[in-house]
Amino acid sequence: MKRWYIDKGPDSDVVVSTRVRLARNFEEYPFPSRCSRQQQREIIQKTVDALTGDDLELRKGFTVIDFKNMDLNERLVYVEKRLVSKELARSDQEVGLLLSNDEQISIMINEEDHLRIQCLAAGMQLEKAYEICNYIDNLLSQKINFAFDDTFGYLTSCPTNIGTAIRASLMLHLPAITMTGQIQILLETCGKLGLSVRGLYGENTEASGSMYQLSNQITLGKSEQDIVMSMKTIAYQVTEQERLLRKDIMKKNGPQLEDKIMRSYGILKYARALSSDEAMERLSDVRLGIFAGLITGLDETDINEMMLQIQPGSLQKYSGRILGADEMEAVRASYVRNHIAAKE
Amino acid sequence: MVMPICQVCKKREATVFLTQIINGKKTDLMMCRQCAGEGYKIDLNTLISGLLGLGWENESIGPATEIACDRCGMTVDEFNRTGKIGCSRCYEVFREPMKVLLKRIQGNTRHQGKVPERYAADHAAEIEVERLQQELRECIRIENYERAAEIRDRIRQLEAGRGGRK
Repeated sequence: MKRWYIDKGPDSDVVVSTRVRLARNFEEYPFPSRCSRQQQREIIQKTVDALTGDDLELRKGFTVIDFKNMDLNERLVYVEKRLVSKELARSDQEVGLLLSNDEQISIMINEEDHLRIQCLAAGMQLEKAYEICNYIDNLLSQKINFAFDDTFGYLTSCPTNIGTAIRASLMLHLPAITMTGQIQILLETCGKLGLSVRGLYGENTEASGSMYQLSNQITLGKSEQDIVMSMKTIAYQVTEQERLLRKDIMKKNGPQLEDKIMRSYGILKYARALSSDEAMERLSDVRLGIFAGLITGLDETDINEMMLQIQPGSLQKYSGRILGADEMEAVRASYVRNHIAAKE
Repeated sequence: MVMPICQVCKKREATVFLTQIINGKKTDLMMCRQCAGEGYKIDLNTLISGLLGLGWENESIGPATEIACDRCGMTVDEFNRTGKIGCSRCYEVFREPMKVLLKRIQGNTRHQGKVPERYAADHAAEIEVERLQQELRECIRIENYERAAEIRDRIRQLEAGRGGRK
């Protein structure tokens, strides 16, 4: 499987990517916030040994990333690629990261829980992502005794993750639902169904680029399969709704929408400075334009890649230095221009 | 009118009221404008902290604040401050209040999902015992004592097989 952002997954007109993660803790150690540095180091070592121990094939497939000694900007790049959480990037503890070479599977060590096993995939691939996490979990369970209780299930540092300790998330592109002002209704409805929806990339809760993350809230009392299935069902409903609204807007306000999309495309092609918010909005319009058949030179993987690369950490890595605010906007515009020009 | 205090900074007056609905259960969070405006991420840890002491005070074991985990030393006060559990043993020490807490935040208290291989047989036995106990009560109610005796023996057998592990 390819990296999520350069792969075309199922239902990718609406579902950008899938992420599933399982939280696991060693039975014999206190949870990370109460571990000594020595214990944290032992946990990292035991995890690396358990995963790559005797299996040469597997050892070749994974890299142990020296996350602890990485500078902050480099860490940020991993956050922007969604391979690690912000919490891991900000941690001053003995944190570790095991990453599969295709960047599909990442195992965060000593975040809120000892282990966070995560799988990323393009488009809607909840079952597949869960299967992969489950496989890794089974593999690690052969060597590690994970904290488990007959009643409460897998024990976690925070009771909101207990039980299955699964968090399944979908990144959804919902421009039509946003444009028609129905996002609030969606938010409330999903809340009632035990799912949370929040804006992605934007600070606060506001979404930038009409990107939303849908995740399950309940982890206890339902099986992993039930959680994944009910989420999939709801996500399909949302996807269908978004598709219908896109058609509807196209039918009623076709010329205006087309104008909006093509203007955004023009700005991305020629602008000399782009703020993060503007770039996200324009890329969102162009993404919509691609699936409406208006823009043919680019596809959704270009948008994924650009949305990722225009984030501050990745831009600074791209230009090889720390950028001031004005410089950042100029470099962002130049990156986007070059990416589009190379495709056309 | 006395304004409530912000649950995030615990200093300023709360003027922003946030309601989350999880599994049909309503939880309220009160924040000051500063904390809400600073892009404070609504963290479930904040929402649940303060809940662990609930339903505990009336138990015969005494006030919650005096109990500490015998393995990692976590107290209810500490949990209420951080929203984080100290170790796996804490779930045993604070089992009863934890059930109340989990009922509130998860809507459930019993795990239904994956079981690690080394627990699988035990876990299946426990679920079977629970089912049998229900059937046993029903048998006694309808005065089917013959079947009740059979069930009682089966429960004993299963419990012996589990080696008395909780």
